[in-house]
Amino acid sequence: MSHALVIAAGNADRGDDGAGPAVAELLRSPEVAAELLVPRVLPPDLHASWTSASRVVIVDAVRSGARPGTVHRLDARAAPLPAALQSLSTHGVGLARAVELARVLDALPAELTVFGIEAEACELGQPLSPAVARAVHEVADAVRRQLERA
Amino acid sequence: MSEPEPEVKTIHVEALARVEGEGALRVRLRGDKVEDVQLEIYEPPRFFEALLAGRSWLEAPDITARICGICPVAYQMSAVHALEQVAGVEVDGQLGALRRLLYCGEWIESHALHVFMLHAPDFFGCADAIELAKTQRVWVEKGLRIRRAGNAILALLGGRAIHPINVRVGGFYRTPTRAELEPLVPQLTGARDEALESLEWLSGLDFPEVEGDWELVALVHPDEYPMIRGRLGSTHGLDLHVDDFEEHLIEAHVEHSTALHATLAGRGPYLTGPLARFALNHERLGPLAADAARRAGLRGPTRNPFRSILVRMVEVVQALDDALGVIAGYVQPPRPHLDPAPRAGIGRAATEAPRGTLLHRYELDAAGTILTARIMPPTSQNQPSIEADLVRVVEAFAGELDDAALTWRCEQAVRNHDPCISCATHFLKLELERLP
Repeated sequence: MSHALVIAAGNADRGDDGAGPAVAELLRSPEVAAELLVPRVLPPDLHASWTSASRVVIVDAVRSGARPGTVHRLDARAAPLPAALQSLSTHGVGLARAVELARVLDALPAELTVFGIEAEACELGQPLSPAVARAVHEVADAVRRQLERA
Repeated sequence: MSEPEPEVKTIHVEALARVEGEGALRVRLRGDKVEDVQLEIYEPPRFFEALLAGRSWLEAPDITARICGICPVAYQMSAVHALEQVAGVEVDGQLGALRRLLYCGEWIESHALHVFMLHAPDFFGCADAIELAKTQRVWVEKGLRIRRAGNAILALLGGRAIHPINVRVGGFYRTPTRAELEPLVPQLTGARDEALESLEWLSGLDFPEVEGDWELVALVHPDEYPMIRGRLGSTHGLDLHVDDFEEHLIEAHVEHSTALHATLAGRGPYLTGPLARFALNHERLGPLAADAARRAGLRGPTRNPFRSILVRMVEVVQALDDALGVIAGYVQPPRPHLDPAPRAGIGRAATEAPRGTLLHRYELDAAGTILTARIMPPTSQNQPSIEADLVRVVEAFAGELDDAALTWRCEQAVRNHDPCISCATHFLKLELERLP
């Protein structure tokens, strides 16, 4: 059985950091056959959340220097995540670190796809910037396709 | 002929790694002598004290929980105890025990994060926990499991693991049934065993020989290792009722930091946190933690800040043991909270956050509206002592370490105290200039 899990991280009250939760909203539908987790920050033991899932998708806002709204799609099983792919929070361990710690601990799931959405601004109380709002739809569609694949 | 001026060297770390929040470090050396040290806290101020003014006292635990994602319970506990003091009620019995259980969860989670993910890499020359896990995998895994046990308490009792929402003035919004607490027992028991093993592992580390001469300040309570109650005591004879803290603990603004700097009136910098708690209260550890401390080589107070990693682990053992004790004796109280009526007045409370003493003061009107709030987090209290530590560390090692190693050692000296920079930057200082 291949149980699927989508982890869409971020703070919905903080501008483009809300990209993850916004994608999660678009995926809340009976047709999407996956468990949905929406943590505000990624914990250091992120891998503990997928112990019963073999297919995992992570969606997070990132800041790597690319154009805002850029979607980074990475197969985390194939290669380490670039260190430049940092989450926006200064509190959590960050996307690349959480995934790389799982790799060192041999705790990666059979399939791990990461969608990083390049953020523009993360001011408190602000909505998604237009470029990121467009990217959110693009990523939600891509996640659906990913989950539909046999 | 005059001697040539010694060369001036600056160590500057622009963004400190493995600390909570954003800060930098600047040390100026002339020869081997330190001319100036600044722990620069540039995370923007967050105005929580101003945010509380005008809000209902019942909102304070949820607003202050937002100050920190690592130690929200400390903020909730200092807040509710200060507010209950205004109302003249004391939350004790099973409700008090549940509060201690919740606080234990936070100590376990926060300390395990710091010990295994932030601090331990320093002792193995690793850049981070990922690198550490390559050679010390079994210990990193144990650390993550211990942390998870703490989180499990927070999730169950607080409603969720980060920024819990179940604490209210007078008690809790909802108390757990016995059956709900029971499943925690195997997890906490396993974590306690792993914490004891981890302490033994940590006691074999190589600790640089440095001692701080700080005045150590912590809560002191005759019956327990302090968490929620007690008087403010110190290694230099301070013995204060918490009500008097504002006359003795003085905060001032310094240019290089968005956090306030605290000193003891007429005495200077001081240090709060695990080293201080242990120095003043090690005799009141439970038998298991006391024995573990002895076996780890902590036969009495230690002034070596690098050894704080051992003290944190002893406190993890204590908190796990304490948590299991609370669960063993738990009977669900008939009501989840008392119903204190608001009244006008001022209340103060101090509790022991994982990284040190956290003091709150609230002034309420008769309807329970907060008129003023004051919050002194441990990191702003510790900042001057951390800077003093840096001077000591640089002067002790400038001769023997090259620049890269010395910079690394300086970063370690900061991490020894587990500063929470986001906590320290919540104040608001408003200056109004009226022009004619």
